[in-house]
Amino acid sequence: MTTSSTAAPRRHPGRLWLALGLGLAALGLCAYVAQVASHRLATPWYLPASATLGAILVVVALWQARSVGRILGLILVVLLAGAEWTFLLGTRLPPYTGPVAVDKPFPAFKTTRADGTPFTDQDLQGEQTIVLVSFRGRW
Amino acid sequence: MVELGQLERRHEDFENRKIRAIVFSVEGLEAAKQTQAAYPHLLVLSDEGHGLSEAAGIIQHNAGPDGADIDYPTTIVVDRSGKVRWLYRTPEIIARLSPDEVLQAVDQNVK
Repeated sequence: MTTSSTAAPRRHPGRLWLALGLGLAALGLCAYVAQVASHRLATPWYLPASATLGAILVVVALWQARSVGRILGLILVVLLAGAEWTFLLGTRLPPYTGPVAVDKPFPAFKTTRADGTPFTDQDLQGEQTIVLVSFRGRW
Repeated sequence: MVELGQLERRHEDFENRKIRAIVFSVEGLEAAKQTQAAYPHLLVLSDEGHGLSEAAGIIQHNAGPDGADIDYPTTIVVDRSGKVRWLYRTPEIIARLSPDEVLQAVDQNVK
């Protein structure tokens, strides 16, 4: 009579890595939604970073055991990371090279207040420090 | 427009430091009036003729609706004598300065 003392084989090797990878990618998206909802406009570098790290974890899971589901998961996370990197890098702006220079007077201009009265560079001088902020518009 | 809401909510912090927030876009007078009504503590300019935007060199060509020219998101600090003390263009179109960052820039660059 013989007995076997071998350990039971792991049923789902790498499953934890898969869950962590997919979860991390999803967490980045959730964090960005929360950031936008809270009206914070900092650059969300964590967004593509989390998806990229998620893809690496899914690769680890795939290395440990291959399945169609894991391959599809990897494709999904890689596509997500690619889209997020494109989203961020595609929104980069060129550095400022215009005529405004620090320690120099603001260039002469003439424009209009919302009430229709004129506003010029002379109106920048006075009792208050001025913060000029351009915005993209109401669209 | 989110940045305008943030500036509006913090208007007391700006007023206490004798800072005037002036916001502008290339939109027309009617849109500027709506913006002014929504953000009464900011001074809203309608730069439809691009007088200010061209003087500052911040026009982004063909970037608006229907290929219209609009402004790069830019923040410029001008002291009481009319001299420029600081200029900031956000490196990404989706990012904006927070009111705290604007106040910090004023503190660091305006004597």
